[in-house]
Amino acid sequence: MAKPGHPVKALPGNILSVSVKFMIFAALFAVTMEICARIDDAVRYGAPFLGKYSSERLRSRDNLGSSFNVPNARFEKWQHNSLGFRGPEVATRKKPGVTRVVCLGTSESYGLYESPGREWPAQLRELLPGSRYEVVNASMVGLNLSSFNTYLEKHVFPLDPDIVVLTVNPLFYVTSQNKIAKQGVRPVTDPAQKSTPPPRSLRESLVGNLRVFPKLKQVVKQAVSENSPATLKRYQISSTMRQVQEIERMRLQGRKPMKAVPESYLANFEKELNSTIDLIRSRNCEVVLTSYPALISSENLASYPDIFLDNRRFCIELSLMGIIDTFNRFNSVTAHVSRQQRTPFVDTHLLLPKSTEFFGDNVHYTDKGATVFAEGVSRLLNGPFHVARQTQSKDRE
Amino acid sequence: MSFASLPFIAFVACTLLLFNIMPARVRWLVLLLASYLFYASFKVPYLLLSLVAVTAISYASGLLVHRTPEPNARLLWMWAGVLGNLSLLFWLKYLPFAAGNANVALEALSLQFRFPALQVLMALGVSYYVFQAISYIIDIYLEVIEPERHPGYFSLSLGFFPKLLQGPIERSGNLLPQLRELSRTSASSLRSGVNLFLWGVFKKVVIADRLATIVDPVYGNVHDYQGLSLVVATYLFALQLYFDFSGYTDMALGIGRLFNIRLTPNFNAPYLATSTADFWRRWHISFSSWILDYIFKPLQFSLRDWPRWGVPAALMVTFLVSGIWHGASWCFVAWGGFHGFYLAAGVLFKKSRVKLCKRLGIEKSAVLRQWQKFVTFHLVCFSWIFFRAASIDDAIYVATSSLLDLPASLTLLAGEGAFLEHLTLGKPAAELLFALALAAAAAMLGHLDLQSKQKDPGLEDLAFLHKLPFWGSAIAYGTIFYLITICGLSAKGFLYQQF
Repeated sequence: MAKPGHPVKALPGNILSVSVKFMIFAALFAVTMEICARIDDAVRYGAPFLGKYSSERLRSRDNLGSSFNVPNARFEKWQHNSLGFRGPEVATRKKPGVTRVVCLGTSESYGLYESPGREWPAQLRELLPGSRYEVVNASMVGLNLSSFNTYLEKHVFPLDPDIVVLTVNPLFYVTSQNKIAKQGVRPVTDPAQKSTPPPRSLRESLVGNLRVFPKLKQVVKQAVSENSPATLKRYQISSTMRQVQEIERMRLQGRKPMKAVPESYLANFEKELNSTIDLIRSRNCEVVLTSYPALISSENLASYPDIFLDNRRFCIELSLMGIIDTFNRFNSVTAHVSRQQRTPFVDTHLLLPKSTEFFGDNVHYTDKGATVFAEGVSRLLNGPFHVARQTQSKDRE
Repeated sequence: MSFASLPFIAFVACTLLLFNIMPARVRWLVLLLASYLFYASFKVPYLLLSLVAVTAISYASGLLVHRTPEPNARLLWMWAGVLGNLSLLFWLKYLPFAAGNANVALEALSLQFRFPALQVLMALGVSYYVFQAISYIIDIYLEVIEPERHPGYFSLSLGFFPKLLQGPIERSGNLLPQLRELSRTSASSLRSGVNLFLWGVFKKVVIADRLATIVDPVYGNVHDYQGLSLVVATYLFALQLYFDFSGYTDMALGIGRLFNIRLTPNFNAPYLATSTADFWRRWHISFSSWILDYIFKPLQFSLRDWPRWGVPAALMVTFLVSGIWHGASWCFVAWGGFHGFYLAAGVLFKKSRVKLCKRLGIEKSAVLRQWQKFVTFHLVCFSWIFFRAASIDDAIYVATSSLLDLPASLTLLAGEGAFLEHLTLGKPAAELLFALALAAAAAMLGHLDLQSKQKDPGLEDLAFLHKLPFWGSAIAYGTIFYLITICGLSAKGFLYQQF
């Protein structure tokens, strides 16, 4: 209650002091949350307390600009061994009598949504008898077919593999082909990583460096998806739509996205895939090809609009139908090459049921999806392929 | 709507806003409508009907008991009210259990008749408000309280949403006077309420639910484990149950405080009890005082002609009823039976225990007190096996394997050298250590709080949070909020909700 004679004088000062107090409280609260997040990361993942902590720690580039997985790097659940691969340590020299299987792909094989140790190469390791097979996951996020040969020479052949299981991302290939068509130069590394990011605003860099922010975002997302999944879906669609429109405006500059993949891209893909297979075979190594599974087809397009739209952000040159066409036709080319080259082929696209029980997004798998993939490859390696290899080795003897 | 969920928090916030903007004379209506809305949110129509029925029966019965001068008629009205409520509880909760057991008995007697198999109904919170209603009618009969004439206040006293699902089982003498004078939320009650609610959420989603991820797989498949693993799982369950239920109680007390209503505290460091009798003075206090007043004392009075066996028999019956109150299963009956046995044995051998202690000269020794705490804790943990196990067979297996296979599993572990992995029941050791460290910190702070309240009863709950300076509060809230949002697991249902 204001004293008589001093009716209103104290009020502005009081409001000011309460506001200042509130702001200090909020700042201290936020700082505490951030410190907790950093302690949490340090304890859980061995993250540095100070400094930036992002997935960028996992990859780097050599002098020639080629990307590679940083040895012994760790970010959250993703951890590399001393050679830069996900999974247990691998001795450079093989054990006698053990077939070394190297799985080479991009993020779908490296692992994204799966629990640690549930990515498909890790599950393949569990499925194959350890006394006869050693499975190495040499996949790298963003690896494009055009970079496979360089990557194989540098990081895979030193391991002296017996079998290389190849899973090639068609979307990355289309993006790189677009770049070549536009600039007339061959990208050294995958296009997604080569482009220099635009300078960030102060707000962006501040939020980007905060560790608590993405954690809270995740919690809110989970809470909303549990309580009101329809609201979250609507929000995601409208937010992704805005992003896609923005990327279209910047990258396509008025051009329309392609409704079908150009024939020349497919021809180049076939040529490059053949060259990669030849290179691998030249090192006395067998090749196993897999198709590239995707969740969405023209039949279930309406069921997952959010997921499909999200996938467009990574290949803006293609329309929705263009993306479906890309998966279908590149998978056909892969199957054709496997027949031509007489390499074993696992049609994982056919094996994986088209539902979100098996896919985390359009091209990445859940634990269950990775199990189906691994079982498909394991059936081949343990079955007809194993028999054929045994017959070959007997013939050689 | 779980207490530890965003929709519930939004629901409380809206109710609080309405409560504060409405004039005093209709605040009870805001709370009553909110409570019924909350109960209806479980989408089980007969639950709301049963609450209304219990309210109507108890309200009418209370008035009739009070207005009837003739003693026999008063007794009749009292029993009508009590049995009316109990029959509703029986119908909702015990009918399938009773029918199943009756069929077993009929089969044993080689009789052809069988009761039809009945579906188990969801009886969320019914046991709690039925017990409160019974105490209300009996208290009027005993002329401890006057009946409440305002149907709105009375309905609210039974259905007040923070205590609807898991208690505390309020006495009308405590709750009704507060409901008649509902005042706006003050800054101090807001702070106190938020503190208690956050502390409860922390206990539930960070500690109890984390422990549940370790305990549930073991108790879900007990035959895959033996010896030490089962012992560890039982200890962890003891902690899980405490943090789950006391977490809920803190949340309920906190929400009550937001509306200026002080609900009865339910816990007082139960695992520091020096005897099972002491344990029941500290665990689920509102329930144990209820069974003491309304079951044990009348029984004790009726059995007063049995000087040696009257009290033990009354205790045995009381705790068998307590067991069956917890659930329609023989496991709960066995659990109640164990507690009845502990207490009865305590009474029967009290004199010889006191004599022995005197002879040894240790009656005031601190070591004896610690030993008593140790023994009581283990007796309680042993009974928790029956409380948690899915069936009597499972419970017997856990009890026997915990005792008989323990030495063998310890020897095996010592030989294998993977002690920690086995102790953590296959979960990452860091996860268990984190949960235990938080449990220890929460238990220590809770204990210190109780001690300071014993010294100064006027102190607010969680005084350690209240007393912090401005900057300290910001840090404490930041830490608790981080633990709840980031380290908390998606809240599971509360364990005591099923009763």
